[in-house]
Amino acid sequence: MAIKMERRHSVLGKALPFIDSRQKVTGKAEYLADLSFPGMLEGKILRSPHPHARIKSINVDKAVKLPGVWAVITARDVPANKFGLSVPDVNILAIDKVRYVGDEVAAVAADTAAIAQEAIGLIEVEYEELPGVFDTTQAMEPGAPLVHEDKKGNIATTYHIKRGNVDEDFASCDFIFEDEFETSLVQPAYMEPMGCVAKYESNGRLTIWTSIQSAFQARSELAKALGIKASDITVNVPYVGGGFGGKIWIRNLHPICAALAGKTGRPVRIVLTREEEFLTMRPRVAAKIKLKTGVMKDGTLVAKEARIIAMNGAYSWAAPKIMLNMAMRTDCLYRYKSTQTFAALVYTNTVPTSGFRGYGNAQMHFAVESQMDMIARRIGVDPVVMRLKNAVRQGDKTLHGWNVRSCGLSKCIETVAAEIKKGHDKNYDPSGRFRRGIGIACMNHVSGNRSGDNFDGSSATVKFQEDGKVLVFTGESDMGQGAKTVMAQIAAETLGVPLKDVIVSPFINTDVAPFCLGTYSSRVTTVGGNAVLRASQQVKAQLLILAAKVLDTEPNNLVIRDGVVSLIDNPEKKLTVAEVCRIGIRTRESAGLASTVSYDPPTEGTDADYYGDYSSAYTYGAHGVEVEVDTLTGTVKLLRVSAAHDVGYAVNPLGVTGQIEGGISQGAGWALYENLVLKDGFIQNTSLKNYVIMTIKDMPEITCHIIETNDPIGPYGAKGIGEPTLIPTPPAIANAVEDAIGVRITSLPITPEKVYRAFNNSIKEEG
Amino acid sequence: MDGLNALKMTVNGRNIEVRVTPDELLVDVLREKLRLTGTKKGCGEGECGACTVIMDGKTVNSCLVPALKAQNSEIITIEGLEKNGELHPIQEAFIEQGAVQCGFCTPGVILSAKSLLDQKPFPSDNEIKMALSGHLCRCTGYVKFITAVKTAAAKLKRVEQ
Repeated sequence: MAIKMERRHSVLGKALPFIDSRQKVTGKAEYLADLSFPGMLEGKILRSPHPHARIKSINVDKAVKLPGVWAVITARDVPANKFGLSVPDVNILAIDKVRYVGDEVAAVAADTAAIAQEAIGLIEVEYEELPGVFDTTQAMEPGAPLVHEDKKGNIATTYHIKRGNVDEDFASCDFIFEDEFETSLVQPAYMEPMGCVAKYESNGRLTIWTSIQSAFQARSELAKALGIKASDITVNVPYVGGGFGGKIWIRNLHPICAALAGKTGRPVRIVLTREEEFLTMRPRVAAKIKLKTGVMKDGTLVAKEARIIAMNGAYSWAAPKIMLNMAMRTDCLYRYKSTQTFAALVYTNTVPTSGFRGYGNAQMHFAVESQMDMIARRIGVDPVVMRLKNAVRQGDKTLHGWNVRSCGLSKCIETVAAEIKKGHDKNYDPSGRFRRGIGIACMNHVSGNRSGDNFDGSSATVKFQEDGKVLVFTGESDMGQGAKTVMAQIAAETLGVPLKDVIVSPFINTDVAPFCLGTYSSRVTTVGGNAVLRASQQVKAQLLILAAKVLDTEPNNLVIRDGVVSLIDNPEKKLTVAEVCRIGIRTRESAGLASTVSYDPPTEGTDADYYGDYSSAYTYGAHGVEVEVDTLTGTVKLLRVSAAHDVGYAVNPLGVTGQIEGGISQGAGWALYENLVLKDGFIQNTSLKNYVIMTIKDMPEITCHIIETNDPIGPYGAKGIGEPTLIPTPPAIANAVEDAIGVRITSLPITPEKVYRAFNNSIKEEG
Repeated sequence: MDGLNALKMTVNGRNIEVRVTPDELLVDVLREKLRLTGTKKGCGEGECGACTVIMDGKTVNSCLVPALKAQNSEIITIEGLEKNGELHPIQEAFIEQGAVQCGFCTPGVILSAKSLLDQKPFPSDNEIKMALSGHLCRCTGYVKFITAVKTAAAKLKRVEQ
């Protein structure tokens, strides 16, 4: 059912502060590391110092004897189940072999973290070092050492996805361009390190507290790892200190923590250090992308062929799914006639890679949107005109079968192009040391993602309490992006009550919350919002039936506004919502005034060839940027960003601009500064000292434009905004750099050294 | 000898005495011994600023301060800003301007903003950036920090009048 855009909303569409920000500014919000339980022990993990080695022996005798130590566990003490997603290939603790620096070997629970750490140092492991593979080229060489003996050629997974006839179409093109691109390893680097508290209850059930985006997925993966039933586990999610895709899935620390709790009979807490975060938490899948694009003279895109080789690291987790997104999504950005992608995900003896804001789509956008500009320059077409000529439009069915029900792509491109050009002084020091350039890039993404024929919905419980206050339960995490506020706004608007009367359960508990997939794929506003909307409608109907009985009328003669139920025709005849609730609850009326709805969006899902309309709503955006390049040092300074995002309908514009500004900061960091440097399998920068993220001083001037297209499936027309905000920034910056100094950087990050060398080479060639 | 030393300090206006070892850090004493968990630990090496507290009028990264260095000092943590259930104007401004997302860096940022506004009632954008440059925030892109500090400055001015 489509909800018509309604401009007379009382709670929606307003820039409202987040409902949980008071707890955060006072320091009262409790994050994982703030939780404490009587008798709680601290856990620490022994990690592999080698990228690839055979474990010959482990001796824990000295560690066990250290006073204050309660348990020391190795692979022998935990189930040997392999867990993970589509390619389960990881054990809780390493069996026989370690595959990357940081791989979990043993763990200790002790009275204090210091004792646990000391005990870790007393565990003696004898390793036989093995030759390793540290990049995808090495890993794919014939006869290369195998990361997993059963994964031939070190291939984790491959995809070949073909639509239309690329060979025929390439033959008919005026031009064919082939270019290569490379993206780097970057860390989500959320400010709150990952952690877990595990406790076995007296009834034998396992309780977990953890900072995670997906409580129910955590529960099922933990069950898989520990070999117990999901229904025997409760996952609680307290306040989450940022996630950005890095906290969707459990890591080894979760079942390790549970195993330590099981062995000691005490609650056990593990909180990672920042160094452990950098060594073992999952960076963005790094990819090498060869792109071949066929175009006509007028800039019409015809055919696209991509060959992607991406780094999986030592274990798979979400990387296979990320590869699939990388392989497909940009094919639906423009109206290509045909596309083909060959993709291979390759094991290496390095930190496993996984999801980070954009989930594969961001990597491919760097290639596609960089090449778009390169092609436009080569054939002499304005890059803005070329994008507009090829942009998908509302009503399109894309090559992969997406039904584009709402699309503001062209509007986004036009908006940022006009704005960034307007402020740009082309005559600014054109041959001097500092040169300015502008560039744009656009993007598409999803709001939810049905995998095959699986559930892609969400659930919510909404209920009135006897004083008229509303309680909303959801299993979708708020990691700071404002999900609770969006849910509260949707409930308040739908029910006709003031926002202050809506309470969203402050933490997630899988025993209480109805089943939800979790916060990823930019899905929560759209899919979770739809569940809250429907549950609210049902509860409202219940309330109106009761109110009609009391007011001696029919429910459809009534309206609820600002917490008051009244007759449409006679507003003087009224009851407050609180009065209706008092009449209905704890009385012989026995009115439920509660509803749980499980909502699944009306999308098809995908067939075995990944074809099909799989997302509730497709999102679009564009960034225009202006940079200043110091030709003497190669330093790129980001001066301005104009950002336009099609969010369908902005439930909370303050939240939307917060997402845009934050996404730009991460996108610019990825483009210019961030890079996990690997040397023979060892990460060289495991600290925020030398893994450089944007500070307040690095931020450009940002203008945000919210484009509304009223999506027919999204609640009140709303679509997702989380991931899209980072996607266009890196290619827009690369395009602006070429505009400024005439050289193209095709690999991330765009470091001063690369810019300096490329610029000086270009001068030599000219000279 | 248990290796413990008496540490006397004032925390949020209360006289505190705790026993600590010489290697204990101020952040751990605040968080674990005094249960003032509003002070966050994001990196443990003075890079992220989440553990910022005000010590004798100046902001410090409490993860770099040996607890005994706080002997006889006056400490203000985020828990010390709210008075009788009333938020400090800086706290109000951060809420109103949407400068809070995940909230993990927020306590430290607010304390640095307080220290700045205590010294400079109407800071320029550049002065705000300098004062907050020791804080890493991964959510907000910092833009709303600047509007929040300016809003707070205006609110504080009104309070004085």
